[in-house]
Amino acid sequence: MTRRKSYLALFSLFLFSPLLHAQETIYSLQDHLDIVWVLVAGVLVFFMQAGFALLETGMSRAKNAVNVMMKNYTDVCMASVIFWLIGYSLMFGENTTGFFGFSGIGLAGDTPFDYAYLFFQAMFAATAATICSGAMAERTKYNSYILSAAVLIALVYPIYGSWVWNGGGWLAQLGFIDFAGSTVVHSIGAWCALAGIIAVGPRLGRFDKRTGETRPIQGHNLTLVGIGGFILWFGWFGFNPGSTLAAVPDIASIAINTHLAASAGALGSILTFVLRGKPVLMTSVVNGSLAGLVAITAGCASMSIEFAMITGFVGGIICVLGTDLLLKLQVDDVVGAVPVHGFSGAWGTLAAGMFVSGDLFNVDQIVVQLIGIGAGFLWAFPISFLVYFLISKIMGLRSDSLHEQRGLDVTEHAEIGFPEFQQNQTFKAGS
Amino acid sequence: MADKRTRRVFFTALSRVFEGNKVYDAMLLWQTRFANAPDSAAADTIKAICDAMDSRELYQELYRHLKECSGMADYLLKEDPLSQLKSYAANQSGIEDAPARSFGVLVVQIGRSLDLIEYPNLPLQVKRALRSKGVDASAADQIETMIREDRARRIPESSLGDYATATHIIYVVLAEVLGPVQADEILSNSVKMVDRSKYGKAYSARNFL
Repeated sequence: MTRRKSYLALFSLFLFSPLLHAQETIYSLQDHLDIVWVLVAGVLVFFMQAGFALLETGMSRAKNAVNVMMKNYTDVCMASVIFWLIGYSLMFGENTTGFFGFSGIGLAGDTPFDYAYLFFQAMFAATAATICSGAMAERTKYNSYILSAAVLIALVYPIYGSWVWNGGGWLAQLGFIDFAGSTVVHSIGAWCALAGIIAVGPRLGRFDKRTGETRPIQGHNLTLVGIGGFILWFGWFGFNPGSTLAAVPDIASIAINTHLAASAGALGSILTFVLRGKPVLMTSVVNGSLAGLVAITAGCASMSIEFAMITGFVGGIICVLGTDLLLKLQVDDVVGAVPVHGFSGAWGTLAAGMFVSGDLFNVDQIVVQLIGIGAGFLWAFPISFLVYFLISKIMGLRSDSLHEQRGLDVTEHAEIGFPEFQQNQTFKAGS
Repeated sequence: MADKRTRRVFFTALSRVFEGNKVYDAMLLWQTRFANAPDSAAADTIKAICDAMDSRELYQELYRHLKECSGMADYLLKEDPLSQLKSYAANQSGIEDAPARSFGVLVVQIGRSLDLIEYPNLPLQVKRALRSKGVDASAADQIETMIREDRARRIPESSLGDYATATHIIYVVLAEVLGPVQADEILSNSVKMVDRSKYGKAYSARNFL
C-alpha cells in the first residue's frame, strides 16, 4: 500500500512538473513586463516636460521664451538628481512617524524594478516642480527660481508624498485615495506656484492700479500652446496608467478614463464660454483638457467611465472659473497653473472619494479626501511662501523692471529666442 | 552705396572681437543704417555701432583692418580714438550733440503715440516718476513738456546711462498706465521712427533701450 502511494506521488510529480515550471516562467515574464511598462510610462512622463515647456513658452512673450524654456529644462535635470539624492528616501524610505520616510542618502534600491520605479518617481517630482515655472514666468530671476524649485523637489513634494504613497504615511493609513497624484503631484506643485506668484507679484502693468482692471498679455505663439497641450495629454497615458506599476489589464480602463476626462474637461471649458456668451479661447480649451486630466488623476483607477467624464467635465469648468477668480484677486498666473493643477486637482481628489465604484458617496471617504486636500494646502503653501520670502530677502526673487522691459532672454541668458523677428531687441545682449 | 570691402573688413573685425549674436546684431544695424547711405557715412555708422557695443577693443581691431582699405583709419589713429571718431561723426552729420537730440526726438515720438485725451495726466506721471528716481528736476520738466506739447526742447547733454535710465522710467510708467503690451509697442515704434530721422541716423535710439 505504501509502495503504491510512493509510485502515485512520483507519477504526480512527473505529470505536473512542466506546469510548475511554466508557472515560474509566467511569473518571470510578468516581472519583466512590469519593469518595461513602468519604464515606458516613465519615459512618457518625461516627455510631458516637453509639453510643459512648449505650453509655457507659447503663453509667454517672445522676449522671455529662452528663459521659460531654460527653467523647464533645468527643472528636469535638478529633479532627477535631487530626487534621487534625498527626495526618494524621504518619500519612500522607512516611515515610522507617519510624517516622512528616510532610508539614507541616494537611495535607489537594488532590483531592476527599483531602478525603474526611481526613474518613474523622479519624473513625477519633475512634473510637480515645473508647474511653478509657468505660473511665475516673465518676472522671476532664474537663479532664485532654481533655488526655490530645489527646495520643492527636496522637501515639499516628497514629504507630502510620504504621507500618501508611503505605506506608513498618516494619510495612507486613513485611506486617502490619490491614485496617480491629483494632489500629491499637481495640487502640491500648484500651491507652491500660488505662493510664488503672490511673493513675486504680478508682471509690470498686468493690472491697472487705479481700477484693478486686467490687461491681457498675449502669449507669443499659441501654436506652441496647442502642441504642448497635445504632448501633455499624450504623456498622461504614462502618468495615470503607469501608476499601476504593473502591466495589468486595469491599465485599459485607466487609459480610457484618462482620455475621456480630458475630452470632457475641454468640452466643459468650451461650454462655460458659450453659456457666458464669450468667445471660446484656445488657451482656455487647452487648459480645460489639462484640468480634466489633472482631475481624473486621483480617481482614474477607481471610477467608472461615466463618473470619470463628470470629473473631467467639472474640472474644465472649475479651471475657467478659477482663472477668473485669480484675475479678480489680481494674482498673475501666466499659464493658469493654479486653476489647472490646484483647483482642478483638489476637485479631482474630492471626486475620487465621491465616485468610488461600488461605494458611491461614502461620507467617511469624502471626509478623508477633504482632510488630505486641506493638509496638502496647509503643508505646501505656507512652507513654500516662507521659502520664496527668504529667497526674495536674501538674493531677490523678482527681476529688475529694466530686465522685464528688455526681456529675460537677453538679460539673464544673453540669448534671444527669436533673433530674426524680435523687434525690440537691443544691442546690449548680456548687459 | 556702401563699399563692400569696408563692410567685409568691418565684419571680420566684429567676428574677432564678438561672438555670434553680437556680430549679427551689429551687422543688422549696419544693414538698416547703411544700406542706402553714401560711403562717407561708413565711419558714422561704425561709430554708432561701436558705441552701442561699448567696446574699445572693437575700435582697435577695426583700425588694424580699416587701415588697409579706407582713409577712416586716420580717425582712429589718435591717442583717444573714441573722441576722434565722435568728432568725425559729428562733422559728417553736422550734429554736435546727437545722443541728446536723438533722445529728445524719442521722447516726442513717445508723446505722439499716446492718447493724451484719454490719459491727460500721463506726462505728469512721467515727470513724477523721473523725479522720484533721481532725474534732474529741470530735465524731468522738459521731458514732461515735450510729451505734452509734442515739441522737442533742448535736452542737456548727458551720459548714455542717464538717457537709458530716463527711457526705462518712461517705459515703466507707460506699462503701469497702459499695460506692458502697449508700452512695448509704443517704445519699439518710437525707436523706429527716431532711427529714420537725421538725429537717429547720427545716434540710434536703440542705445537707450
